Amino acid sequence: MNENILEVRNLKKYFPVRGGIFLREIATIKAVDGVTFSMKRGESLGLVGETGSGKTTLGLCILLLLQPTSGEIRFLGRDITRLRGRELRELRSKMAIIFQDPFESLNPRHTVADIVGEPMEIHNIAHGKEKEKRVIDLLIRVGLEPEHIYRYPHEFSGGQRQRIAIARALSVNPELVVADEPVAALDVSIRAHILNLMKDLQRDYGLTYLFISHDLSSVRYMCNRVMVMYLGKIVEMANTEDLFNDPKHIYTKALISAIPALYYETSKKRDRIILTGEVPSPMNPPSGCRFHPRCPEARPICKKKEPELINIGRNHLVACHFYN
Amino acid sequence: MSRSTLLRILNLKTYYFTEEGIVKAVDGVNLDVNENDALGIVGESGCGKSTLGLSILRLVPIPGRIVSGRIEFEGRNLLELTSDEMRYVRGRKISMIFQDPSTALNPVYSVRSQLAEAFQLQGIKNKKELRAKMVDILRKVGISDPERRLNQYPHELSGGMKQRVMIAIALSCRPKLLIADEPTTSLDVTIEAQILDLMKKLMNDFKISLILITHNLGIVSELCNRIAIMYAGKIIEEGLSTTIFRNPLHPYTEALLRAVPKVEKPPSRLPTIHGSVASLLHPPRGCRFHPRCKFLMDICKQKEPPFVEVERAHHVACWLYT
Repeated sequence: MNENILEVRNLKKYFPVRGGIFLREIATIKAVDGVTFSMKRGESLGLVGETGSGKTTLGLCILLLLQPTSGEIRFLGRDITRLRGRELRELRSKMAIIFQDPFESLNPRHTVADIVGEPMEIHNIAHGKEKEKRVIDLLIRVGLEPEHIYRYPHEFSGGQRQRIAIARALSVNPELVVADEPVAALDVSIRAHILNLMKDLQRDYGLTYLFISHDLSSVRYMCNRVMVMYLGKIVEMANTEDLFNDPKHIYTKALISAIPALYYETSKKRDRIILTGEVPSPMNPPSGCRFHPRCPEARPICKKKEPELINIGRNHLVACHFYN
Repeated sequence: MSRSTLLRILNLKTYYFTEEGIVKAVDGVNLDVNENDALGIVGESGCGKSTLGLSILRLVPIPGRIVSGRIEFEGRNLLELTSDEMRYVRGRKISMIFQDPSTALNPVYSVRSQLAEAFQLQGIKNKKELRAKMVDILRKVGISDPERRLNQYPHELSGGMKQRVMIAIALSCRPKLLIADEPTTSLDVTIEAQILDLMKKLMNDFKISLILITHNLGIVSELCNRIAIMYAGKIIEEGLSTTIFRNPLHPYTEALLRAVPKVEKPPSRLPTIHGSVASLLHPPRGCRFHPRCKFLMDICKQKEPPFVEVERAHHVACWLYT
């Protein structure tokens, strides 16, 4: 079962910026700018980056919730990039998404039965009594009670709502689940519950996760592989252990060292890399390596030439001139 | 009051009188802040930590009210001051920065006018002097090209820049005490690291005491020398950061520390605290943590544990230690 469930090739998503009296296109935001990667069945791949790095856009493009500008997405061996209508709908039952904010992503006028059951209706998985039974099974599976089925979202706490969102995602028996910051809006003690639940579900249902997060410690806990994005590009990708123990790209090093650490977990004083400046606008990204204005070790070549993503061994990929 | 105590909170109770009932957000808190202290107040959402911060400045929003207690600052009880006197304290002695800099700054005024207001309240009228002071403080908080920034409006600044401006406004009056309520929660990690670094430096340079309100234990361990853990309106453990991180006593503190995924050595499974945070509307009887506690004893359900000193400068409210 080591086949690739998803292959993304040179994916680009540009958003036009319109202005002037005729709303001409005056600029483009290159949110995702040439991303290539693949995912194996059953793995969980972490996608890490700061605000504006394009990680959410990439997640939405993979589910075709946003139409990519160019590039190719192969899911279960077939090119899905140009799918429309019925074929697209069929495909949607194989993939699901969990959003960040469980207060916004659940319709306040629908009961839990509607929220979790509607995808089953749409995809013709179950109707009537059978649907209800499946909803109850799912609720129990995600740690809620059967009597919750006729309640409304406002009757639940943040953690419980995220459980409902997870149950909805699972209602179509998906193979790939994109989780976009699923625990960012939750408290520490609740966060641990949800992460554990997601791990259990992955094991039991053989799910494949694309876990999008800016929280490196959750990614480290959840994922077997991590991909770091900066301004629409992948700058580094490696197995979780390799990435955290031996990060190559300076941006990754800075991200890891920026995590405020608890006293007792660090015996030695860490070398902190504090980056200057902020993420530039994806409207006119810097020339050459997009990270060069913030990089403490930038050289002349970094300004001129864009580094390629190269494999430096053990499937550790990095885009930096230092490793060329 | 000993010489080094800057702020002393005694049996403070702040309640919200809502239609559903009385929400006891702060329910009998005792706390000292010494000069040059950086005190972290840690807790999950709904534990009353933000209300505690707002109570110190008497900014609790309606329908909330400070019901009883004392807040002693420089020898005076803040709760007995007239509103004019309180305004003076807010302007000059105690400043506050909030979580979301984009809502804390007024969008229709430029950085210049928002910053100038703070200086003008101190009686600086001379235009040249005012400008010099503003440029100087912006530079101190690490804003590049301060003269240009003065003319900009909040929407032209990034999140990190806005938070720097907020810090500049808060420090412009040279306060004795700064209350920071989740100052970096809305920022990205690399920007958070910049802001924490800046705050550390400024605390030192300006000789300011800090109360940092946060849910993030990592930030506290970076910035604070003392920690108070809050649960359901009460402080349940308090002590030096080094002590609490090495030797957490209260079962809640211990569980909270273990529930954070570690970057260096993640466990194969995260330990969790079962149940959810106690309601402030109907807090459990006895120890408020008892429904979630794994060391539950009979007494925990009936009587509230006293806040006792277990070792030097390390207090805890738990029947296991009395």
